[in-house]
Amino acid sequence: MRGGDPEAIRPRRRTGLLVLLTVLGFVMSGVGGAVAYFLPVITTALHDTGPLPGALPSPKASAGAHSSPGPTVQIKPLPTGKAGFTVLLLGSDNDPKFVAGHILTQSMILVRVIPATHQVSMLSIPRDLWVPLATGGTAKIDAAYAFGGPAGAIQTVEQDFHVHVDYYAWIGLQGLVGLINKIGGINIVAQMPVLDNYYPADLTGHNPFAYQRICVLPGPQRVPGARALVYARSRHGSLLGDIARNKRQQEVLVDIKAQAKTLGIADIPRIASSLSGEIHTDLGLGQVASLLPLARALGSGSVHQVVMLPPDYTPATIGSQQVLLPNWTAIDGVVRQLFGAP
Amino acid sequence: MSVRPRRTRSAGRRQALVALGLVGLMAAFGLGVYLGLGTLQSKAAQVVKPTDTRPAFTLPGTIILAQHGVLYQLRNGKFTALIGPAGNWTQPALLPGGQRMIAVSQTGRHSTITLLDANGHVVRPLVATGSPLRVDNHWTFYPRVTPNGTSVFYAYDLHDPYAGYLVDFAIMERSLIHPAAPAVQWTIPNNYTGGDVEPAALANGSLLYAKYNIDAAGHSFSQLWLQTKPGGGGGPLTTPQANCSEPALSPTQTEVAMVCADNQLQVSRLEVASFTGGKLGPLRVVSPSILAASPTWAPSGNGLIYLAPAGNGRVGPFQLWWLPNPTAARPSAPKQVTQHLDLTATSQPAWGN
Repeated sequence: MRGGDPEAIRPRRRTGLLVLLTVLGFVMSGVGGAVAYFLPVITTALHDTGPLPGALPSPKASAGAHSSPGPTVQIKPLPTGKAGFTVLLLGSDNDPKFVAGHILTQSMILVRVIPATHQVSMLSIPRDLWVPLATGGTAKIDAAYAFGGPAGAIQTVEQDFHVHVDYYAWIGLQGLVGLINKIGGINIVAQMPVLDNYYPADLTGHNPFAYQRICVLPGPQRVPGARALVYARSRHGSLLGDIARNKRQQEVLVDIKAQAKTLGIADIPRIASSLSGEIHTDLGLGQVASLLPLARALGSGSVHQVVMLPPDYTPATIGSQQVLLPNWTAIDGVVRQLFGAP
Repeated sequence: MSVRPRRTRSAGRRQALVALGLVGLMAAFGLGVYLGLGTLQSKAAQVVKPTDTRPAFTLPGTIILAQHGVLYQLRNGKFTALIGPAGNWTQPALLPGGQRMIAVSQTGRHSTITLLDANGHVVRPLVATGSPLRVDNHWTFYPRVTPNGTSVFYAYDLHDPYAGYLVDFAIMERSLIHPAAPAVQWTIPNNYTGGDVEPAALANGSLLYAKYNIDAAGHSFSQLWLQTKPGGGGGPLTTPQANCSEPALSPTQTEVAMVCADNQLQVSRLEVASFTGGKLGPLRVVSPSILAASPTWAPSGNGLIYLAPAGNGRVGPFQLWWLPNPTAARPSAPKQVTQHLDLTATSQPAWGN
């Protein structure tokens, strides 16, 4: 008989349904276990990643700059081809000295990543560079984030440097310390003795305006997050001031990249838990995860590091501020060499 | 009203038990996935105290090393803690005869060079630098005793409290015979470069050290520098491009081991050159380590110890390595002496008979 005996088919269907439910139950349970494992990542992703927020209103106009509604930028997928992508890395003090959300960026590094060729280029932008801001007016470039948020910083860099920025990532001081601690510390080769009698004691004491003495001896050494931050942040003891600091920040990025080679996807939750509230980015979770194998593939010679030096700018005084006046012709040449034609 | 047969009831109970078992298995599977993912994490470097481990092989004599602010003695294949962690001790140097040593203790704002006996007991401070006023404090590091044991060279930050940000190391010499005599400043550092560090005293009275500088392109570099008298008579032994530091004189003072770094790549190589007392021969890389630090010659001169991560790698804590016959035309491969330690890479080991 076509279709068989209904009395015989019913138990078979019931058994099939039970097997299906059992398999589904195991799958759901496994997914539940995985979700629980990656919960810190999900929490951080929900809080700290996502579409680029608009510009923030300026707490008070100063230094010739004035606030205005900021630009917004759409999220794009992570390019994987020869075209590559550009990330604007932002680092800043975010201690009690500052009004929340209105902080100066101590560090701005444009990073060009070409996954197809495993090449990375880094260009540090001096924080004292005197530039037109996207939010209006002219000021030191470190104010672009304070007046316009990440969108303001990105748009300022795009308009002044004629480079397209695909993504941004902002990290606070404690975030950098936590990140380095969670990856087990890093090995640095300190390029010089770093001595500073006026290093901010904003993370170690009760007075965010206090100073402390610091000393990082030269040469190879293993450092935890707090020590790496001291190395990357001190700027008073060097002839080159902020430029020397830019170089050291790039070195620390190279050292983090070296340590990141030892990490896998299962390490992301513990790292994410250390970054909660200390990082903001419009890179999605999947995009961050896809950067890990890329970090492993990068050779030690595949990172090209550039900092700006005279004649890229001329030191000057405007009002009471020590600033760097940009030589846009020279800067355009550097940018074109590293990032291609705009 | 119908009565369910007994067989049907027991079958239902069995099914319920099976369902319960399956739910339990599913929960266990979910937990297993959670725990299994945890096992996929990269393993953090295991670090133990030196006293909880033994070296892979025995080196002759006594070696003093620093880890986490504690000075350890390695003798006859066994580690012994000498002093610390209170005081955050580092950079030991043995006096001739090996009955006494000097070392650096460090606080958050200054450091002190102290004379210790062979068992690590404090004899007396030699260069004290602390002050209640922050900018009146000083850093002092890299104590090195002269071959005849009469004085100690060290790096000292000579900052002027009124000069604001200017803090650079200069090399000083202090008598061990007349400790109350004022220290003599040997070197004049380049301003705002970090200055002069890592002295090594020559038997002929000259001084070898690492001098830091910054070139016109903004690159920081160090050179081995030879100076015949305090305040002058000096010159470089290595080029700015070589970027060498951490000089270690062989017992006969005819060879110099050093570390030469590439700041951009963040690697440092162990190199050796012959030395006439006035000039260096060609530099030769003698180890495959890409992050070598703090070389020290064996008292017999037949080998070097240095610090580098395990497996000649770029990451991980620093271990002790032994390189036999570094002056041979084709040096032997270095051997890793310790495992699972986290030795202070900026603290050159001291090695005595």
